[in-house]
Amino acid sequence: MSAIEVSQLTKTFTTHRKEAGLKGSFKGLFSRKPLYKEAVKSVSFSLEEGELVGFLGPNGAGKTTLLKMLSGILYPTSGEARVLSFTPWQRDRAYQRQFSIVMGHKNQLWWDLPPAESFLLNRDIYGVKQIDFQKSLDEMVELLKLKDLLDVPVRQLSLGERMKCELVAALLHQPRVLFLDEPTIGLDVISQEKIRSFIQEYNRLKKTTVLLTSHYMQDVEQLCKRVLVINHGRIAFDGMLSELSQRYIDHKVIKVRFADAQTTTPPPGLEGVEVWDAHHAVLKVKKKEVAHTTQRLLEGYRIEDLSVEEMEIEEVIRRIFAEAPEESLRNRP
Amino acid sequence: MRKYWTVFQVNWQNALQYRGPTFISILGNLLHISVLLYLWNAIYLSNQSLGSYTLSDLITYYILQLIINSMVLSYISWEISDQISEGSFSNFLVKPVNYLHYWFTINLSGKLFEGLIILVVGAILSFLLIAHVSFPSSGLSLVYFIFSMILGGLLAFEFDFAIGILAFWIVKVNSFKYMLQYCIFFLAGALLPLDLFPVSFQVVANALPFRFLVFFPIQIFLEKEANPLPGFLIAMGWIVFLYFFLQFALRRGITRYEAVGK
Repeated sequence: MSAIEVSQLTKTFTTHRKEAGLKGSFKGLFSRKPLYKEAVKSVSFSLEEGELVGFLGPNGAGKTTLLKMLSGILYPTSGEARVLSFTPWQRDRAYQRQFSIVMGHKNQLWWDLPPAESFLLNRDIYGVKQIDFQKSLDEMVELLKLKDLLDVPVRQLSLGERMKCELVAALLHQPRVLFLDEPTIGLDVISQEKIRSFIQEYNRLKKTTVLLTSHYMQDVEQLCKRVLVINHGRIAFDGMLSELSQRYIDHKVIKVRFADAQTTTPPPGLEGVEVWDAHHAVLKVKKKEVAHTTQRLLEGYRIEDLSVEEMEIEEVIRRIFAEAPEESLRNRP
Repeated sequence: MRKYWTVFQVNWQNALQYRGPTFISILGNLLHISVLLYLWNAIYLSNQSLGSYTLSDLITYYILQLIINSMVLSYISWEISDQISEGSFSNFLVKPVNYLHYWFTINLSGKLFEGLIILVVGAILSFLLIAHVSFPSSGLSLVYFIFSMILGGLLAFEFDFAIGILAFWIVKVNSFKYMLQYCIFFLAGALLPLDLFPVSFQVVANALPFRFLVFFPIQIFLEKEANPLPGFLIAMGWIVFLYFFLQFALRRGITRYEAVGK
């Protein structure tokens, strides 16, 4: 049985158009034209228990709206969702004890108190037994190296430290499903890396189903085998990360360092040149041209170093996002 | 209800962090009341009594008002409306916790904390003004007084919670909230004893439940309320009614919140 089952989920926000200026405000008092914004459009997917799946998409793509519906914060306009066979927006207590959501830009810890206090509070809100509480707390404190921070008021913690504590607070009741909304947002590279490896390790140890949104490609590359790419409220791609690159990457990148100085103009007939100076060259060529181009370079120049690289996944995503918004690229029913 | 007991303790610790601001706000109230007492003192120099109040009655009225302000009146609506309009309300929506009960606990813990401080201040003040304070003649009046403070505290919480959750429906709730709070405190008798007003006003104020917050308990203390029992029953009726009303309103508010999302 799937841990998360979403079908045809749609959320339309209604706002009101306001014409600019004072006159517009005045008119708005009497007649307001409703404006509809489809944040999530008929989205369907499913997640197996224990999967760690990444949700990729630019700002405003509908990632957060989706997670909010799955946590019961938002009521959908239409469609179905089942998480652990509960309908999230019924906010069943039994469901609430089995999932958690961490939002990167929202704080759930008590600002003026040490995180340990918020942990105790969550222990009792979720009705966790003291033994289990102490065990999972110790585990996570060890994994995240938080020992010295437990007694420091939250307001004195750095953003990265706070995020770690947010994660601990959210995981004390050992949820079976975890939603992470931009858990690494605004963090420095090292903190990002620590949060990432923690999530990875936690998922491996506890078999928790994790749905993670991010617009940092690295998060997804390191953590997730499977990705859902969402754009303009629709799922644009649902499949393996490797598949994503196979499908959308038809080019490779050849990087060359010349042994001796060259003319700064590339030879005629050589395609896909992106950089060509006295010592370096970078070429982006079609996959089937790679062998031919490499051969030509090796024959024509004294080369010190040559490498053939995959295009960066980030570039792939950028291309998907740039494609016509209304065209769905879903590859699963 | 272990979780609410923990909420209580955690908030108590939070209050300890804020003991400075709490103390300063009490000093502010003290100043406010001193000015009023000074004014009344001047009025009484030319008048022997005003309505049914002697100067001692009025001094007692304001000292009690100071205590009630800390122990009974609720000021949680600020944080509630912030949570709703900023979206941290979502944190409560995903957890197995009842928002009304949660805030009730926070309020109770805060009021008890402030109560401890104010009792010390009130005791010092009464001692300084001992010649001018009217104490109740019977122990029963004192028991009634404490009971009426508990009822007042429950009602005050319910009114303030109601003001707080207005944020579900109104985007910019602050100025409106000020006005409502002021009206409630005025009709509660926090500024002036209600029976110093014209009769027509008193009729209205008596029909409303707000007098149970300040005026009613003080009347009991001053033994001006011949039989407080009907008042107790009416207040309890309001408490029960408002409890169900607030649960209902909260559900409606959440429906609205669910549609918009923050």
